[in-house]
Amino acid sequence: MGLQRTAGVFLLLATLSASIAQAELVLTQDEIQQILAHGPWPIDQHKDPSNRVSGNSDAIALGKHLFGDRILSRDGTLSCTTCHRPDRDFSEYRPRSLGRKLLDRNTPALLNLSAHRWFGWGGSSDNLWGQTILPIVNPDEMAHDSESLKSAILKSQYASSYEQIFGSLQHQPSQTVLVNIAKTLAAYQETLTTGKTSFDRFRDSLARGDMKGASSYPGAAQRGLQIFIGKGRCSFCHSGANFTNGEFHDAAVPYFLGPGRVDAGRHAGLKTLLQSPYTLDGVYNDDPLKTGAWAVRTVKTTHADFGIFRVPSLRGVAHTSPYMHDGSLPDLKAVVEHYNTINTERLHADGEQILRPLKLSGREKDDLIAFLESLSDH
Amino acid sequence: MKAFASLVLIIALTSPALACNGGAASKLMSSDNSGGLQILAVLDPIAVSKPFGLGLVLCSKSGDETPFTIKVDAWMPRHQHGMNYEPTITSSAPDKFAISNMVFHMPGLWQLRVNVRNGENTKPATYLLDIEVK
Repeated sequence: MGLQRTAGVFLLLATLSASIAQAELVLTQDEIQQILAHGPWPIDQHKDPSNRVSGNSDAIALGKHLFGDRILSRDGTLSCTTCHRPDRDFSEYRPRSLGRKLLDRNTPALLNLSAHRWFGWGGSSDNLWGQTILPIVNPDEMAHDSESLKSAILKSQYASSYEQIFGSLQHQPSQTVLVNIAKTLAAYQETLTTGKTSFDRFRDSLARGDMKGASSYPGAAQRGLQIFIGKGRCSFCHSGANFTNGEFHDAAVPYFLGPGRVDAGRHAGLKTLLQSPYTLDGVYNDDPLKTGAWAVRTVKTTHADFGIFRVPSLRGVAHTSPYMHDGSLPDLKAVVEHYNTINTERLHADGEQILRPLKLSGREKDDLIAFLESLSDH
Repeated sequence: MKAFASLVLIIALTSPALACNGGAASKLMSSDNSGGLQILAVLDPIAVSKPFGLGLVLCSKSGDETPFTIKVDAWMPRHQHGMNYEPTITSSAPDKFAISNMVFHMPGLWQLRVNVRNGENTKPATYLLDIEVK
């Protein structure tokens, strides 16, 4: 994207101290409009209408306790926090998650989830409680079924809390108990949000026309942001206030898992989604209007879904290494280098034509990383 | 000058295309094989990756009341991909359609494509409209 220096340019001078070299950046009106589109932040929090205990303080408290308790795994060895570590923005340091065996994908962070349309790397759920059910019943992860989970909750310290929220546990079908437990976990996860970052303060200053306030944003981050929205083409997919368009793309990361095994990505996610009873179009949705069910009803399935993965949010990204769906890139430097020298032979031959090697200089790569880090200082 | 204005008025009153009214915000779609049919599109505000709707008004010269059938899609010519969702089409009149669940999931140039068939035995015509999404 070429830069046209128009009459409407803004000159931002980073003058943090006399000892730091002045950094200056000229932004066009078009660039400023693009930057404003990445906010405001935080976004308004709404209760999830599909989850009748969304925002319920008792459900949030129960969900928080359950999230950290191994009762959610059948053999009592795993809790949600085993992989979704609170000290790592609810992601983990391993490239691929370790459940009852080594899994195929990296543990995604659990922040700002209420902004999502699809959940999981392959988008196998269209709502948070539905997604939460998947690891609980996956034989390679927590390995419960609804009966074993109901039995475990009945015998546990959580039985009375559950009954205060949902009524008699003993007489409820086990499937209902499974969904209700997932809804308390979802109510808790909805509270995991991030605040304003230095990028947001910069963006807000631009929105107010406060150039003095904007000038406190470091020059390297400003230059990195200009690459992000410009020749880096990053904002094609990492768009909006949550820095994701919520959809699925081919990032030229191999999806071969070993001899005879591939990770089919969105293709597999859609297969799971369209067979699931736990979607917004299903009977466990508490919203009589079925708000949001249009997506599962109308989503297309195409051969291009194979091996593509959901675009992750970049908020908090500096805290959630390693990266990509398989955790194959250890740090932000590796991610930038991946896109800088991307192997277009790995892209779908008849797929979308967005990515190309960025050919950034060393300084430009550092600037892009500085910008990404400025999304993580909340 | 008066004669010219009168001529414009006469053309305006007699042209079936101009009698077609989609409102001030409507946009005329282009077609290489319209066969006397024009389509006006009325777009809701569009935000990247958010569902939006649009209205289509079909304006036929002949006054033919054969019901139209339409298909709607959109394409990013520079990126070589389309939408991830199948738009929902409802008809409020034989020549008026409401389209919902359109999602442009990336910024840039999108091409709205409407495929129209007037009756069973006619060749479908394709109408296009370029939309820049920011």
